[in-house]
Amino acid sequence: MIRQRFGGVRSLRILSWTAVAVGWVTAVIARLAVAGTQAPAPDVPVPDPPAQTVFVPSSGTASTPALPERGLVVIRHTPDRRPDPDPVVRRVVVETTVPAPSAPAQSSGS
Amino acid sequence: MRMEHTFGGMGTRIVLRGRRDGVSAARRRFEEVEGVASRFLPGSALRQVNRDRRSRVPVGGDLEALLGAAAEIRDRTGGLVDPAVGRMVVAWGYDRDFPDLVEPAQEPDGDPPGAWAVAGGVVERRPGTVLDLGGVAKGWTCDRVVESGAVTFASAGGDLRSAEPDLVVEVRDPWDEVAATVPVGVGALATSSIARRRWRAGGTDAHHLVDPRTGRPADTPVLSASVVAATALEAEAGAKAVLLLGAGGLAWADRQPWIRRAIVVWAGGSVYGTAA
Repeated sequence: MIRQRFGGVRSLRILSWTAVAVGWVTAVIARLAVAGTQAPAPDVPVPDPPAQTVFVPSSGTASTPALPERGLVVIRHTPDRRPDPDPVVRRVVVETTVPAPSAPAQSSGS
Repeated sequence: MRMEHTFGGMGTRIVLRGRRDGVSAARRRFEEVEGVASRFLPGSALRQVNRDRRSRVPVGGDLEALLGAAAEIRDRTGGLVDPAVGRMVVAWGYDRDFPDLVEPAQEPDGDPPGAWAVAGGVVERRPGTVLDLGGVAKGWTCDRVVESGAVTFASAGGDLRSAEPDLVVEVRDPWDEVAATVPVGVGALATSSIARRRWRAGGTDAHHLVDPRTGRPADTPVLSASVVAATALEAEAGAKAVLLLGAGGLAWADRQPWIRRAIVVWAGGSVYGTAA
């Protein structure tokens, strides 16, 4: 009965298909193994992106300060730019002595 | 009896507050330091050092202390505030007291400051180096007269040092309006500005704050910078550095543990500050 079910041509077909499957699996495993040991493919040059014009304000013309890590405090916002102050080009130093107390201390730069 | 005394010295206006005898002693101290550290007085010790052709010159007393303080400030600001910038300041025409300035005919070439050091009573630098202790001397002397107890308040130009716990300072902008009201208390505040003391050199606007990185008057959107610190010397150096750094000045100040607060007046009139 067994001989009837697996006789002749059918046995041959099973054997041949088994051989094909084993060969295919072996080929896939071999290809993966070879790919893992091969040197990396050479770099392919990437074309430069299209040129862009980037405007970087110089320090002298920056519109706002760079942000400090602990935050920026806006003490006074002047949306309409004031004209530049008149520079002091000559100053006369006057010696005086006045009793305390006096007006609040001021600091406006040397 | 407490009093406030105002007088001219160190090329600016000096204000002292305290008891009468302390005020007199403090004024004498300012005059002593100016006599040592002025770039303009013919007999000053600093002028003699600047004219000395030797590379190693003995220094002592106040001048040695001032140079030591200046070296520390130079290192702390990464070379931004360096008294060796003096030769460039002179080249741009600031070679005499401000009221007597004469315009140079042409722009000078930029030239970075050379290396210098002070140790063991000797200052070592390349002959020809001009050390300018103007800003350092003002702040340093304010610190000395307040720390000695002679006065409770000392201000020289834009630099002030206080031992008065309730001191509040009005920071004025270049338009002479109040830009900010700053509680200083026991501490110091200094303001550096390029809006004042301007002149022209070879057709170019010049001011006293020369950037050692470029050898030219600083190109900055900051018209004036004020810094609060523990000492007037630190505040003075911090304010100059913030002004020189321009757009990045406040971010830099925010990272310095010795700067309590920084405020800038921006070109056009806006006022910004670091968090208090």
